[in-house]
Amino acid sequence: MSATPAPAHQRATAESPVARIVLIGVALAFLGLFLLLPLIAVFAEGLQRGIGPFLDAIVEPDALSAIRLTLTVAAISVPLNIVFGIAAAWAITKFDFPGKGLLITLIDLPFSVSPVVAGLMYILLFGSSGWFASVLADQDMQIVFAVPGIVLATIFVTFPFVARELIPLMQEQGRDDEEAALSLGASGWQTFWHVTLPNIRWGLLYGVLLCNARAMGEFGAVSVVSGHIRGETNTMPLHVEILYNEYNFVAAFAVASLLAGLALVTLVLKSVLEWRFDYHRGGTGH
Amino acid sequence: MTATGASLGSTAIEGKLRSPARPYGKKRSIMPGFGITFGFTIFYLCLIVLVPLSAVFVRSAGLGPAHFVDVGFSARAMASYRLSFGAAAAAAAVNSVFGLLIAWVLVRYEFPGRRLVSAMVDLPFALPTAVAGIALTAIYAPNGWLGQYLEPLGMKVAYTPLGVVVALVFVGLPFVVRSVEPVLADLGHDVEEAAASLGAGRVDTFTRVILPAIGPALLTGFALAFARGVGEYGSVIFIAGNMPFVSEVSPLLIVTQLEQYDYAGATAIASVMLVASFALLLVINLIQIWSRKRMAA
Amino acid sequence: MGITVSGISKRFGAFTALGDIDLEARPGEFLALLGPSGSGKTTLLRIIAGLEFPDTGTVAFDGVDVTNQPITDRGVGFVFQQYALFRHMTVADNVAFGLTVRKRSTRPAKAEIARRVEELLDLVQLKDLGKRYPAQLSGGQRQRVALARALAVEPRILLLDEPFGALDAKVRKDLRRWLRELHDRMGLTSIFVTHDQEEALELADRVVVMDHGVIEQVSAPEAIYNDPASAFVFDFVGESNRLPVSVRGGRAHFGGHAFDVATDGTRDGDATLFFRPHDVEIVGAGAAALPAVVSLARPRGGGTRIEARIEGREAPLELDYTGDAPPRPGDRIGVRPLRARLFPAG
Repeated sequence: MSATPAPAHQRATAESPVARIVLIGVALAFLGLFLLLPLIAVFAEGLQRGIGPFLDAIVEPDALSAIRLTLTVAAISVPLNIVFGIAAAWAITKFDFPGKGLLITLIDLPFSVSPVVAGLMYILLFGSSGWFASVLADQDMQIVFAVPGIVLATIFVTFPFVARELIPLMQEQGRDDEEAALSLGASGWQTFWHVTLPNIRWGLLYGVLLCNARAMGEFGAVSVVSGHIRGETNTMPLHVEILYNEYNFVAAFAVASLLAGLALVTLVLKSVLEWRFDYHRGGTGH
Repeated sequence: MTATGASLGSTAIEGKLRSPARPYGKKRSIMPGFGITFGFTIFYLCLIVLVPLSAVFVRSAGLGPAHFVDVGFSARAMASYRLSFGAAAAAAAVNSVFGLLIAWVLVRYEFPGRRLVSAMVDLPFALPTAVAGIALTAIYAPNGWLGQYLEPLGMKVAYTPLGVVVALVFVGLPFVVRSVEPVLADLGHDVEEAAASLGAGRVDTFTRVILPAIGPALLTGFALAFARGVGEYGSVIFIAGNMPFVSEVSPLLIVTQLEQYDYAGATAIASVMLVASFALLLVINLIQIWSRKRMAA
Repeated sequence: MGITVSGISKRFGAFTALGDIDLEARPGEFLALLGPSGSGKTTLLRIIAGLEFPDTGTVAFDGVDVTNQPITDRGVGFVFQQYALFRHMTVADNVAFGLTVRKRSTRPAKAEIARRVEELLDLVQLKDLGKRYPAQLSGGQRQRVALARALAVEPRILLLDEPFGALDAKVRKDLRRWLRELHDRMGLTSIFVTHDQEEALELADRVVVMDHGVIEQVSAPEAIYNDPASAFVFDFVGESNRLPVSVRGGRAHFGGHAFDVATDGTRDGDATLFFRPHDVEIVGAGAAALPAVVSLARPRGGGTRIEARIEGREAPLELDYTGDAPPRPGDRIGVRPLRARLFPAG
C-alpha cells in the first residue's frame, strides 16, 4: 500500500472508502469468527497444559498406531484414486462416446452422498448379514470392522478428487499434443509419460493434495465401518473422538492439532500451486 | 465457471492456441488406450460406487412399502430430517450472504493479507470434520471461549439446533465463496459503469445488475453447501447434543440404529437421504444448464 | 449541448494519461478522438462522461461545471466498447433500464416506458427483437441495442468508446453511416473514440488527434490529412514517407542530394521531411531528384504502387505512379516530392 492518500474519487463505480472498509471488516470478522477461531482453539486447547502433555498424547502407543493406520489407509487409497482419476480423465477427454455426461455425473456422485451412508453401504455388502457375508466367512476374511473396510470407505469419499481436477484441465488442453507425439512415432505409453503428464502435473498434484487431505481426515464413513478397536482400527480422527468422549480433552486436541497441521500444510501447498505456478481451478472442490 | 487458464510457463500460450476437443461423432481415433482406461473406469466405478449404492436401494426395497414407511418416516426420523434439512438450509442461507460478501471483498478490493484470507477460505475443505467439531464445541460450549459470554445472554449454541447450524456454516462456507468468486471476477466493470451511466445508483446497480448476473452461481453455491450440510456428520455430532427429536441429525440416527443392529431402519433412512441428495444434484445441474443457456455469449 | 474541457490532467501512478487538455465541442458537433492506444483518448472520454475524475481541470456542459458530478447525474449517453449489455435481461429490459431505475417521482408509467422502448427499438431497427437476450444477437445488433439503451434516457450528449471496434468491416461501414444520420436527426453532441483514422475522417465534423496524453491537432478531417500540424499527425494519419534531412539555404539535403521543398521558414539544421506516396513526381534517373531503385511494383487502385530503395535508408519509399508506363523492379528512378512538409528534428 502506498503512503500517499488516494484521491477523493477513484472510479465512478467504486464504493466509498468507508463502505469499502466496512465491507472488508465484516468479511474478515466473519472469517475470523467461523474459520480462524476454531483453528486457534484446536492448538490452544491442545497446549493448555503445556507442551509436555501435548507430546505425551501424540507419542502414546494408541495414538502412534492411529497415525500409522491413517498413513497406511492414505497410502493405499490415494494411489488407487490417482490411477482411476488419470484413466477416467484420459477416457473422457481423449475419446468421444455416448453417455459421457452421465459418466462424469456418476464420478461426482460420492460428493453428494453422506459419509455415513457411504459407510453403511459397505456394511450392507460385507457385514455379518450382508450380501457377501457367507463368501467372506468361508474365506475367513473380514472387511468391515477391519482395515479393508476403512480403506474402501476412504476410497469412496475421496473417489472424485483427482478425476474432477483432471477432466476440465485435459478437456481444455485438447488432444493436439498427443496426436503430434503419436504422429512422430511415440508409443501410447511414451506419449502419456512425456507429453500428457508434464501438461497436467500441477492439476494432478492439486487433486492429489485435496484427495490426501480428505483421506487422512475422513471421519463419518470410516467411523461406521471401523468398529473402533483401539490400537487396531482407529484412525487419527476416530482416536480424537474416543479421547474426546473420554473427557481427555488435552489429548484429543493434541492429536487434533496434528490433523490441523496437516490441513495447514495442505492449504499452504495449495496456495503455492495457485500463486507460483498460477494454477487456477474452476468450480468448487469439496 | 469452467476451469480456465492453466498458464504454466510456455504451455499457457500454446494452450490458448490449441483447438478444443473434437465434437461428438468422430468415431475413429488414433489415440491409444481407450479400451483399458474406459474399462478400468467403469469397473472401478461399479466396484466402489454403483454396486455399494445399489445395495442400499435393494435392501430398502426388500423391506416392503409399509415397513419402509414405518422406519424411514418414523416420528424420530422425521424430526431428524427436519433438523438436518432445516439446519442445512439455514446454514446455506447464512453462507450465501457472507460467502457473497467475502467473494466480493476478495475480488474487488486490495487489502493487506488478501491472499492469506483467500487461502483461509478453503480451511473447511482441508480440516478434518471431527477436528472442526471439537473445536467449535470448545468455543460454543456453555463454559467455552465464546459460550461463557453467550450463556448469560440466554443464547445457547452448543448442544442445540443452533449449534448444528454453526457447524454447517463452517463446512459450507467455501462452496459459496468458490462458486461466486470466478463469476464475479468475470463480470466486467463496464456493466456496472453502463448501469451508472443510465442513472442507476449503487444499490440499484447491485440488486438489478450484479445480483442477477451472479444469481446462478450463488444458487449453485447455496445448493452445494446445502447438500453438504444435509449429509454432514463429523463436525455436527460433537456440538449437536444429539438429543433424539431435538438435536439429532439424520446421519447420526443412521449410526445409532446401526449400533443397535437395526439395519432396516438405518437403510430406510439412508435411502431417503440418498434420494434427497440426488434430487439436489439434479437441481444443481439444472441451474447450471439454465444459466449457461441464457447467458452464454 | 456544448462541452468545454479545460486544463484536464490525469495520472495513473507514474504514468501520465493526460497532460493539460483543453477541448471544446460545439453544440451539435460530432467529434472524433483519434490516436494510438495509450494516447489518452479513452481516459479523456471517460472523464467527460464522469466515469473517471481528473486530477486537475474542469469539465463543463453548456457552461455548467460538472467536474465533480458522478456519471449517474450527468445525463450523458455512453456506449461501451464491448457494449456492456446486461446479459440476464432481454433487449427490451436493457433499453428500459435507464427509465426504470429513475426515482418514482420522475419515472414514466409502465405503459409509457413500454412505448418508449418500442420507439427506440424501431429507431435502431430492432423492432421484433425486444424479447431476445443479448447472447442471441449478432455483434451489430448488440451494438444497436447498446445505442438504444444509451438514448433511452434522452441524453443531449452521446459518448462512444470505440463503437465499431468489435465489428467486421461490412457491418462497420453500414453502422457508421447510420450513426451519423442518427446524430444529426436527434441534435446530439457526440464524441467518439477510435484508433481507426478512416472512421474518424469519414464520420466526424472535427478530428482530435492525440498522442501521449496531449492533443496534437484539432481540425476538420480535410485539414488533418492535408495540413497536419505535427510530425506525429502526418505520420499517424494517412500513408507517408519520412526522410531525415538537413535544411540549408531553403533546400533539403539527404545523402549528398539536394532538392527543393517549401521550407516554410524551417530554420537551417536537421529536420524530418514528410510526403505522401501520391504527392511525388517520378522522373528519370539523374534529374535533380532523389535517386532510387525500384524494388517492387504492383497495381493498386487506379495506378501502381512502387516501393523504391534509396541509399542510406533501410525501409523503401512508398510511391504512387499513375502514368501509363510504370517503372519496373530494377529501374533507376528519381523521386521528387511535390508537396512535402518539414518538421524540425527532435
